[in-house]
Amino acid sequence: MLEVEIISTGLFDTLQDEGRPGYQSQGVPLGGAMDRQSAALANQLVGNPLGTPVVESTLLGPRLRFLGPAQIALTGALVRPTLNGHPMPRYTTVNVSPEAILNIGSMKQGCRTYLAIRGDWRVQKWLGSCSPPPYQSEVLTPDSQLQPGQLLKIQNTPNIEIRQFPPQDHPIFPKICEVRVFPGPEWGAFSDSARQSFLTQPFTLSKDSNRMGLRLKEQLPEAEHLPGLLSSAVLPGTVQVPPSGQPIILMADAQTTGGYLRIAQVSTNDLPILAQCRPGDQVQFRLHV
Amino acid sequence: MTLQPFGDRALLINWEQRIDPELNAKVHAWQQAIEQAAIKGVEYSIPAYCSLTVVFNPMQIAFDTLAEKIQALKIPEPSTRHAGRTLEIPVDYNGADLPEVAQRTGLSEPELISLHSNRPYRVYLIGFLPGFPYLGPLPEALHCPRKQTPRQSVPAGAVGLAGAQTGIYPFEAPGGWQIIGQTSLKVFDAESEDPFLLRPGDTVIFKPV
Repeated sequence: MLEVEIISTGLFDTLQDEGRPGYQSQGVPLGGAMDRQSAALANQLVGNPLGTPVVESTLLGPRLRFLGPAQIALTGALVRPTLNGHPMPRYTTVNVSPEAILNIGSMKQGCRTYLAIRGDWRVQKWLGSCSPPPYQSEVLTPDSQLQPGQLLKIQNTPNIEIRQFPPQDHPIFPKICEVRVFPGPEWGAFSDSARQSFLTQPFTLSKDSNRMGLRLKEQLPEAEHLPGLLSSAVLPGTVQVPPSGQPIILMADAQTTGGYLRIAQVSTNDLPILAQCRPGDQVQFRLHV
Repeated sequence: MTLQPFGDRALLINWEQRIDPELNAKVHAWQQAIEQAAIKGVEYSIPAYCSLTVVFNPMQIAFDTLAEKIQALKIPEPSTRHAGRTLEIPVDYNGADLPEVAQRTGLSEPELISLHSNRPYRVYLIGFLPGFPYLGPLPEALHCPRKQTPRQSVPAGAVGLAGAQTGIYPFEAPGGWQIIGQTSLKVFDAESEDPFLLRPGDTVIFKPV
């Protein structure tokens, strides 16, 4: 059994997988990795099945010590990770020797990194997932919000050949990003000027953004007199507009129903781009064609 | 009833937009029928007051195919009387917002309690928090807006009011509902295999203790 010690944590380090689809009629958030693409890639690079837990870190990553030999891969936001003080390559399988210390460090571009470790993770799950729910996570998934001194336990499986992703294919996460949207169920309830403003002006991510939702600072015109909505489903990628007129993009840990008008739905393929936006970055919505 | 795409991986069925037990029973009948049909590519669905959202994997099924399959289902006429289970919930009507609710509704506290209790409420939907039931219909005299400033923390088991709805907090969480009472019953049990006491379509009757 491989043990990995968390020496120190970054800003917010959690174990994530593909969440818990199937429990949303009971009000359970979907959960799972924010940037599903980077998480899947990390697992692929170490030969783990899709949906194996990965460490998702936010803006500043943790320091970890591998107590035995391991195969790992790091994807997502641009960082300068070190292994025993030497630069470690990203987007490739890395063989780690016992007692090695990995320092992920602070993210230069993008918001979240994903660390995959080859093997079978021994971690407590709730309703089929290790993803910490927004409430009661310390009871339901006690292993999943990383703490200093914590030991991750992973049953080793035989090493694979090194896999890598060429540097020109590493995603980059610019400070101004474009995401494609479909008209939401209440698109037609918004005025022409609100819709036009939604599709033309850039929106800045507020610092109140988190795994539940990204709050945008700019206001849509003529939002204060919009009718309410009888609570109806919301999904990761739903853009809702509360009476303040400041849109909120719901993300992985969002609630399952809401009463604000749903102006748009982000294209599933573009959710990873949003997951990598950080406070202060700008989002430009484009209608999906 | 209309079917429409909701982004690239969900289908939204909307009924007439109102809160109505019979309409809501239809929503749950459709959800059950879709679940039982086990259509390949359907991942999960979210019933609400008068809408049902079906989430699918577009790599496995196209929107049009799913819409056709759903429309071809034979949906039994739901009976509101026999659907779901009926549960009695003991409530200590000692909530911190009883005075505010009394003032806003013009009712005395005993009047509030007798209007709120001993009547059947339908679990229209579960949302906001895992296991949080939206219950109704609530007598019109009890309709009351949410608190101006939401509380940082509402205890597990708190019974609250908001607009035309009443509900129960499954665990401690922030919230803006007017708290009128407290139940000792666990509507959410973290230790249990099936942690949720209530399901959409169930009936709840509050009993004062």
